[in-house]
Amino acid sequence: MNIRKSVVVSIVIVGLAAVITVVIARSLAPAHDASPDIVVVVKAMSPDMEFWQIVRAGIDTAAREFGVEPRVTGPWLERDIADQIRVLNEVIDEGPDGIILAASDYEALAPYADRAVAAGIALVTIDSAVAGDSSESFIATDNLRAGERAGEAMASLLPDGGKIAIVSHIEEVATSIDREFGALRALAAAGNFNFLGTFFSENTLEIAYAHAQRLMSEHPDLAGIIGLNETSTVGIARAVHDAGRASTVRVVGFDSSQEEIAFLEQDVIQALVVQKPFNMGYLSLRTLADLLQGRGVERFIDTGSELVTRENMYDPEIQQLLFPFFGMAR
Amino acid sequence: MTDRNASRPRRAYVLSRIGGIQASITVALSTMVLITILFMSVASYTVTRRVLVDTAQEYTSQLVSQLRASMDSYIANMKSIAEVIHRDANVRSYVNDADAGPGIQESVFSLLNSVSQTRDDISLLMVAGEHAAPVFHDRDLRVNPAVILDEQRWFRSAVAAEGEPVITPAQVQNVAADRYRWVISLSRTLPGGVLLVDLNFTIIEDLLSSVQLGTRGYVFVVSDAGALVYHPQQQLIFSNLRDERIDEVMATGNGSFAAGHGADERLYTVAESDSTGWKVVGVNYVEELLADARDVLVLYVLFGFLCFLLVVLLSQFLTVRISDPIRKLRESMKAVEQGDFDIQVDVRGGAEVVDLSRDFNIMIGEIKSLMHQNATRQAEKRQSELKALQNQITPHFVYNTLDSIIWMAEGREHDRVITMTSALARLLRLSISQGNELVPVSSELAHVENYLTIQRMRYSPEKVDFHIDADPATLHLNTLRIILQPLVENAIYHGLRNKDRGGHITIRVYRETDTLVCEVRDDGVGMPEELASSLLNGHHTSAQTHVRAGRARSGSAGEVSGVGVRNVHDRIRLYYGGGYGLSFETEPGVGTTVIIRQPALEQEEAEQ
Repeated sequence: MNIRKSVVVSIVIVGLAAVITVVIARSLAPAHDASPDIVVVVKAMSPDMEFWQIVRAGIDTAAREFGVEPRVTGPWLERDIADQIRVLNEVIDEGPDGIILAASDYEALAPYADRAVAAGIALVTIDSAVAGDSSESFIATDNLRAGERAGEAMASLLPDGGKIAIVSHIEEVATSIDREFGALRALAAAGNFNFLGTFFSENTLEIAYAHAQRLMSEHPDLAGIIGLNETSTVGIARAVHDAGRASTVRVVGFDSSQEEIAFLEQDVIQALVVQKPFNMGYLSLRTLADLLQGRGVERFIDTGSELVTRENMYDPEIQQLLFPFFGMAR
Repeated sequence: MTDRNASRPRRAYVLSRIGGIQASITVALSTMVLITILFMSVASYTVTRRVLVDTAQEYTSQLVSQLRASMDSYIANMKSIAEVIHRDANVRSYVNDADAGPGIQESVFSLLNSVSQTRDDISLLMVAGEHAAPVFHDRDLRVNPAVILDEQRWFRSAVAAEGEPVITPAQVQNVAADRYRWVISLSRTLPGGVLLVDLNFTIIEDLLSSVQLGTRGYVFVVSDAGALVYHPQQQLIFSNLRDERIDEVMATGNGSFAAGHGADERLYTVAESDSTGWKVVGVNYVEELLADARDVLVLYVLFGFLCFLLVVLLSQFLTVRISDPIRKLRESMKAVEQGDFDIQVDVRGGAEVVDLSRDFNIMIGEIKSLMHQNATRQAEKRQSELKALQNQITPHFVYNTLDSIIWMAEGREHDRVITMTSALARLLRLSISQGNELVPVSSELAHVENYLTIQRMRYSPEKVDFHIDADPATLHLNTLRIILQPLVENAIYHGLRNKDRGGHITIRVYRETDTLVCEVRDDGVGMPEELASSLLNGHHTSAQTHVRAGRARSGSAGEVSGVGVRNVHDRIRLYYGGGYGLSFETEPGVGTTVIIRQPALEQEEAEQ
């Protein structure tokens, strides 16, 4: 009787201990399998969109460092708000742990960002914010400051002031609004500019070109044009170059592309405000990883910007921004 | 034993009896196993850790050496290409001779072009002179109008090196229009000019970025001046989002060092190139290296638990073998404690336990026989005690009676002498005869009647009047011998003798269900309640005080009668037990009744 009883007791103990052992072994073993499911929804997937390719490079670097395997998705081209909403909805339905979102539209994406948060998904926004406070952290260039930098650069190029115009990309996009406001603030501070207005290129090179061409023909004494994104800047630079007005019209632009760099070398563009998309990508994933591990994150993280001129463009640090390895390797 | 056992549910062994054998065995074995496992885990983890780190370091060291060799071979190749171009007569005359014709320029181009065809890692070849337009390896390439050669870094360092080849670390080459490529440049001055060999940096980048050092580990290259040639996280470093231990790398020629701690602990392995002075650095995350060591640790923890389980099982079985027989023995002992000496323990188990149970049985047997002996002795003792008590009664009475007879004889009262002597004779016969403890009530009544007859004669018939009232149904019942006489004696001495006009003694015998009751009542002076109870309970101090007081009035007989009453009480209690014996009903001035209770036993019953 005693033996049978002790056997039963032993079996119970063995069972319990086995469970405990498995639990302990699980907790001791590093969580290979438990890496969070993260999806990045960018504004554009096209390889031509160098900015987003570099963001992805930064995300990849962080992914390797933090041991996660994020999936990157998004509409093919940047202006496709409807497609981004569709993609985002699909992603929310998959129920990932976290989403990194670069909103194509400040207002239009907001309900879907709210929906993601309501579904218990941690949300971090990059580059362009959404309305509301669904996002735990916004990781972007401080566009106000970047716009201000562009304005200051223009002001120092034109110490005597003059007629000036801004060509921006899309009216409702937060980056556009902030940069414009920053640039105008810096120009207003200089006090001697005659502001002709802000014109929108709809992110199309030809429209930007047309705006610049029209401005130059309407105002022969035009002193400078500020382009608030890459397409706008290239459009302006091409128009100025083609019109042979490079010596009289100062151009300050945003971002870097091979064409912009060539114009910078040729002194068609005098200054470029360059963002740090690599950092943006890296920091976004790092922040989301922190968030998913329950650590506190900052509401806004400035990834910084840099003013590039002919003089400093081949400095090692700037070279990295203008010619990321990434663009080279492919 | 089994009854007690069944009534108390037995708890699970493991949990019961802290400090018992089970607990001792479990704790001892577990401690042993745990200490062993702990020691082995720590030892093996330490060894595994060291081996893993050593292996990783060895592997990384070979890897970075290989990478250095690959990079050196690229550089060496650039140098040999530069050497070929440098020696070429056409190149020299093209650069040096301002009047060189287009034919020479064409032959320079075909040299550069054919050299570039031999290798696909060449990004750009260029020859330029102070007065000679730059010639590229590709006819499509044009000089970037924005570039001034003299201001280029590679140009200036070539001039500074005075004819020796100079390597410029990774940079964006913008010398050709619309072409911005990351290259490593080799530049060398020619008499009157310069030559440029650009190595496609993508080659190096692919080489370095494809290296896998765990998942987080990486490789980077630092130039002899301490500038980063390649780093996978270069942008983070420039943005101060990450810092790299370049100073420590620069201080390390070939070899390795560890930096950081916790999850950020890294192992740096450095290989320095002799030809360029560049350092190839492999970085391993120690945490990753130790993932295997942790697996080993997990394995040990699992193993430890397995052993622990084994110990628990083992101690279960050991307990069954050791503590169970002991527990059975203990239960037997408990039964013995409760007075059960008929136990025979039959415990099976280890040889020691069998011996122990045999010894236990022997011991119980010994105790049992000892107790039996003891009981016999006690009974004998009681018997002799009874006899002694009984014997106490007779002598002094006999002496007193004989004294009276002598007095009567001297007074020549022959009839009274005869009556008294014959009464005494009957009395003595009844007292001494048989030696049997129990007698019929009739015999006991005859005994007391004889005694009273004598006493009446000693005193006077008026002084001691008596009446015996016995239920005839009780006459054949058994009673302890000589119980009425001491009480009657007591009644006479204490109750009647001190009374001026004499007194009356009534003896009643009747049956009260199973009890035989004898009453001896006198109408004497009575006595205080305390005295009555002290007579029975043996508080000798107070009893003796009273008896002494009594003696002061009555002479030497008082003491004897007090003892006699107690004797009767003690004898009844000795014989029948606590439920029987004497009780008093007394009232000073009215009289005393002594009630004797015995079990009502028929003669046959009593014999049994």
